[in-house]
Amino acid sequence: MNSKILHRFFVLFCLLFFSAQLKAQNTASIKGKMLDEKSEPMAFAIVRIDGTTTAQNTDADGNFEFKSLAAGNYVMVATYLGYQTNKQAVKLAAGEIKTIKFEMQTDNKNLNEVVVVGYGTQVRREVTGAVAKIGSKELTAIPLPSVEAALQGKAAGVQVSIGSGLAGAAAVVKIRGIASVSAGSDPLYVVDGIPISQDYFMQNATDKGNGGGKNNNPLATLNPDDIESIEILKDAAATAIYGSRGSNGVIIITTKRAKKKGLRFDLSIREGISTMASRPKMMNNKEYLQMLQEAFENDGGVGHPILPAGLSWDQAQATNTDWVKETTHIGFKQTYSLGTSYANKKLNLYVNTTHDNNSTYIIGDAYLRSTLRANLDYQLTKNVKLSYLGSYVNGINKRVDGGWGGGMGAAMSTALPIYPIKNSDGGWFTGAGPNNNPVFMRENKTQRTQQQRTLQGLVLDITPIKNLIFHLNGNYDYLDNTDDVYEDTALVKQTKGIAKRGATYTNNYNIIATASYSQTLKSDQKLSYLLGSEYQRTKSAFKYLEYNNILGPLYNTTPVDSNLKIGTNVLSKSISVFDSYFGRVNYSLKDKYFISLNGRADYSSTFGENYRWGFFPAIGAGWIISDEKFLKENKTLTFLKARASFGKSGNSNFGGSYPWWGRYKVNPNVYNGVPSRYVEIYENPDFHWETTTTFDIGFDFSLFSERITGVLEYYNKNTKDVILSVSVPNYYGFQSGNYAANVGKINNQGIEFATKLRVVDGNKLRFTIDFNIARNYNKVLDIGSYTEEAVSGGTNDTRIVEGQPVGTNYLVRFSRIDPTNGKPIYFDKQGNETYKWDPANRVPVGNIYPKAYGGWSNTLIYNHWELDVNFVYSIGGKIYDSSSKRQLGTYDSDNWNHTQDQFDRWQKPGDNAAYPILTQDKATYGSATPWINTDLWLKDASYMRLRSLSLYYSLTEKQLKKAKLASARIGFVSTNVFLFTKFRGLDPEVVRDFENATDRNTSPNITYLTPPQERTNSISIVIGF
Amino acid sequence: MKRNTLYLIGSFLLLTAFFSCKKMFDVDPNDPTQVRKADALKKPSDVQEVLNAGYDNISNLFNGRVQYYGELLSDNVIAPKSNNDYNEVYNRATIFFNTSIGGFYGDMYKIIYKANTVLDFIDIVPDFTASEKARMIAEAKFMRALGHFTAVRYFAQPYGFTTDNSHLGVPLRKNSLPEVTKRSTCKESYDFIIKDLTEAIPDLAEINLNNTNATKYAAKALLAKVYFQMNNFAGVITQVNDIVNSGKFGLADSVNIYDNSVGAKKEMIFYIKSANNDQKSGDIRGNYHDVGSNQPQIGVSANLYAEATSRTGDKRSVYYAPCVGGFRSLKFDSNYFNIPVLYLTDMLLMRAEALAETNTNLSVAITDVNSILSRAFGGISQNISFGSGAETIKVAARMERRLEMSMEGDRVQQLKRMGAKGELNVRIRNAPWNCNGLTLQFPASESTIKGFQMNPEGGCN
Repeated sequence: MNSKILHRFFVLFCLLFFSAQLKAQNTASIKGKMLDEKSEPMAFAIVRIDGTTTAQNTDADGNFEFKSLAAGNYVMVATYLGYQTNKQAVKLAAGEIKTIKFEMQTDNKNLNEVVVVGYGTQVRREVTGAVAKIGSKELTAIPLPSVEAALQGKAAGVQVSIGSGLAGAAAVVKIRGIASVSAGSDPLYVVDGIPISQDYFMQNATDKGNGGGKNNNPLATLNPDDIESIEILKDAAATAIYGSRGSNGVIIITTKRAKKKGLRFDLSIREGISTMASRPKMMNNKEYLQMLQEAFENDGGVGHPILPAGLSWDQAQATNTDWVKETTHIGFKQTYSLGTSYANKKLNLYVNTTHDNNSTYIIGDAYLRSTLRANLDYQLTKNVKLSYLGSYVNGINKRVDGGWGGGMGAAMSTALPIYPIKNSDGGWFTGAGPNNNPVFMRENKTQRTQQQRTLQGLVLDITPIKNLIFHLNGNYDYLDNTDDVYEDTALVKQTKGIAKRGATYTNNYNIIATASYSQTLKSDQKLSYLLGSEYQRTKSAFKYLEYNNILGPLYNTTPVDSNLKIGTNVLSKSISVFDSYFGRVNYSLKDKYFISLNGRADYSSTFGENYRWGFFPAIGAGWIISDEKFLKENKTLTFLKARASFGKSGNSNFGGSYPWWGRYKVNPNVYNGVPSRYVEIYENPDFHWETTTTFDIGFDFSLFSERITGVLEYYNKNTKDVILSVSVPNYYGFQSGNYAANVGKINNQGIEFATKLRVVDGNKLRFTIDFNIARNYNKVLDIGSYTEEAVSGGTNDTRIVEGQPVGTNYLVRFSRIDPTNGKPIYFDKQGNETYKWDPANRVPVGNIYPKAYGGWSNTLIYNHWELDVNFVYSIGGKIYDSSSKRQLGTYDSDNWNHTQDQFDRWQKPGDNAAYPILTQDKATYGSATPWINTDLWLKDASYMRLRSLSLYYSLTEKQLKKAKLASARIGFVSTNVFLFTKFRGLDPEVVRDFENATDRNTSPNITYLTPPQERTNSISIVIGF
Repeated sequence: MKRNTLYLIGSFLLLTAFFSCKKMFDVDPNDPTQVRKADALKKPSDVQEVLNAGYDNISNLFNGRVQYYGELLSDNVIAPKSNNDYNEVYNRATIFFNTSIGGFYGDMYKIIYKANTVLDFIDIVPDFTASEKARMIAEAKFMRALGHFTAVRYFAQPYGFTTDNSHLGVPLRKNSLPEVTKRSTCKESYDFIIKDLTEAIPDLAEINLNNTNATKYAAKALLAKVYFQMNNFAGVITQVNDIVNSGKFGLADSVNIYDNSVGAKKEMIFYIKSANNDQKSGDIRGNYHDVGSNQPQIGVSANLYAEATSRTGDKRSVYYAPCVGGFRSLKFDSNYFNIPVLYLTDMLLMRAEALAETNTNLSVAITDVNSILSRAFGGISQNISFGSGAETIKVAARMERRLEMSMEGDRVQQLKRMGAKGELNVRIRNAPWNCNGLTLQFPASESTIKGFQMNPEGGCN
């Protein structure tokens, strides 16, 4: 506590020191007005006197006035988010009042834009860290399952894999590779100042777990329409200010404000359809029966094999159900958004409401979202501004079984084409088990998840004296995720059904206080300081309820006494707290040399008692080389800036209450009526954050007066104390087989390149190409005394192997098919061929992370027409097609349907086929288990995808005037238009599941009955008035 | 102006200072089912609760898995109906991905961990009486011995596999710390088990306090089994004599100790208690029992069936019946029943065989065998005659042992013991008694730390 008081006195001391520096007195003035491209006044813009820290906001009419200036030469600089910085030289005589006018141009050239950094903003020119920015246009251009999907292909080094075609599906976002194994490696998402809760592992009602890959996605509750910009902080200079939570990168989301004086309405409407981007090629009844018969005969069978569900051979031949067709359709999507903005001298108000109905191609799968946001800034007095930012979202996710849980997953596996939907008597066919009739399941099992989230923020900005700003910010983030399942009478075979509910409640709040001060030391030196503290507390609770004999799901049925409650409510809670102190000093010399120092100290309840505090410092430097004499006159290289940074940041994304605490489980009666207690979680007082030390060097450049701009960057990240949730030896005797400890070391290094080419930059015709590519090298340097068996990616056969990248596929190698007998031949560990499949022969055979990835966008504007063509690509990663081991494997008692690819099988001696002899006996394939993981199912996942194709027409001024509109645009947007890939399965872009952090990190590229991406076609109308 | 500034700065500081208010860090989740480690062991009853947790682990291990995994390795059963993991055991080809076997092995060490928790922390707990503390330590040692003995029987080649028993045993866990532990030799394993039991015996209670707690006689019975496995016949005789002479145990009236009768209880020295509401017997019943002529998961071999039904008047023969796929055992058809872990029939048959092997006190051995035969046939019709030689006694004791203890996992251990003793042509379902696959493979988790030696596989088929 003492050190905290000292800390605060230091803040006080600094502030007093700054205030003593104040000085003034003179008589001349500069006043003026700031106008946009349509000559409308721009409110809340910033005008400053170059080389000083004197700055002002324009008022609601765009006016500004600097009084009491001394005679002399000034350069006035006008900046506004999204507009190019504008400079004007002014010569001022004593007593003179000069009037100037700034006519601002929209900034599509990114070198002078204002970017949001941690706890503040900076002009791009002065930034020393690696920060990428994405504007609102890109976020709303295409229909997305969730906002994070919009980042795909937009920023170098930001890898986004969209999980599946399910409504509201989450994407896996990795910034600059992966440095974690068992801790979450997702970036920190900060919305208007609050690190939001983003727990993917919210349990659902079906099985209190993941339930067939139908993951809850908390980010689906963010409305892309409300977002002004997204900044992605990548290196230590940018992320150290987020301390122990910054090393995975930070995604700062800033919501919208009114941009112009007066009242304005914006209405946008989008209508679209959803279809499957790729269709599974399952066998029909004839094909299935033929192949089954062949397998049976190959094994020496005579006659016909016994069919499942007691079906006769004739019945089977007479039934042909296309289960994929039965579980899919054309989904319809609608989005309606109405925004109102209003600004005057003192008030800035933005209100938006959006309603989405996002139905996918899977029958019964939809995400309905209604959102309301209100942002308000009010200038209470000249020195005090009060802001309120609030949003409420109600998301209803209508669900059906999916993945291995059934539904379309069953259509690709256990629902055989020989099963009818209904029996001849009109009743449902459930002879093969209800789950193998996905239509029956859909009709008799209601599943719905309601996500309600509110974000509330209150901000007080006080400017007691010039250049000193106190910023007080309190935020509250509440998320209620309620998952309901109702199993109807036909399913549970009783007169009334069973209702289940799993609900997670997350309360998350933070308080931030910062003080910032800027000053000019000499005429060409600027210094600015930021000091702050933040407290955050997150509490979540999980509840589970189950009622028998009830008439409907719990969201529309109130249980009465006669409804039998099954079991007791399970209520688990977790609480975590962060207390942090941070600071930043920016120094600039001659507006071309920049140095930035950052640091943050974090205390967290999640850190073990031997590691209560973590400190994360970073230093960054920038040099605008093109402002040096030797380059100043260069007409080709018009801008060149070198940046370098070095620092530390951490990752403490491991969740839970006191993960380091040892705990005994107490149980009043487990055996023989006596109470018991035992160690449930082994204590680890050394448990703490992962530390990443990052070195980054980057060049920002511009050629031919910004016709070509770009960024080239190299980074080297060394992460230590990587948390491994290792499968500890059973001989420890621990209750749980896993134990988390800081044991690993991982290196990531890479190169990123992003460029914008303004190929044609005329008034009528503009053609722009954006291209980015990133290459990341990843290597596990050390996993202590553990072996590759210690950490497994769930059921997915990826492992952590020293000297190999994270997420290494660790499999028995398939050699070939013996042409003489059709049996598969494998390699043993030494590379000798063997008929025996033995997991002891597993070796590292591939890696799920790509060698390079990025995006390529083309924008062609001609008069009022705009054509956008966006590609994303991924080169060199592997995909493990895990369901193929069954869809293309033995015809064993699991009774799976197989894919038509298996037609290419060995049939007679001499055949050179892709797949071995058909069999019902696992022994034919050399195994004691029927489903065999080998690298036969490991495929190249390289792809290039035409992610979106959009055509827009904006109304002309004349048309607008006639229609009395401020703006209007109509467009046609198509997503996932086509895919170039060698992968023969459904979709090379996939995330199997979000079972736990280890799976997300080590096994995203595993497909197991995962629904493919959706293709959407939509039209949109955006009107402003 | 200056003054205002100071006020503002002051209030800013007050606000930030408020953040650090102590209460805001009080984040104890207050989960009623959990106690922090620091608060967990404060009084003697807390330590007793840890022991109770150990007994619970024992009850989950000996309520089926010890029995049927043993049988699956033997010639008493046929291939399981459908379970892939069981099939690997039956085929004597377990691999380290067999999660059922992994759990089986892990549960042995859960028992040991509870015991070690007691042994490591009992000294910090106040208010113990000396005798209470000594008893708890002794029970912990019994538990640890039971865990290690079960592990070494299933996951290592038997005692006598090498002449000096330098072959690998199992990891011996001597404390509760998560320390890397290599496999000890078989000799070290048995030495440690014997040490624990020998130390435990004096301090254990004479009678079973809580129906399930280990007594002095439970430790002696276990020690007798350990010696028997080592072919240390003198050791067996000493321990069984003590048990029999205590007068605390008598043979059950029924030929089926699983019939849930009151009479069954009197011969149980240590057992798993099952009640209608906890169904502790569910696992063993679930795998051996089925309705009517349905094939259970694990059915009886023709060989055992033939032996069990070979003599007319054998009351035990009614516990076998034909079913789909072969035969099944009817011993486990009661809804629930206590499960013996250590019981008198086993002791008497061990002693009989040990006396025969050492050719001493044969009359006692004959009485032991005849007490079992009289019960099985409801009279003396099949008794062996007084004056029978050692070999006759041994053959009879072994046959009765197979029948009395069928489906209990004992058979394979006896065959291995005989093989290790040097008896010729000991084969189990056409495989030599010492082939690799007759020891179960350790789970993959054991190879997570560098340097652990897994069992060699194969060689039995």
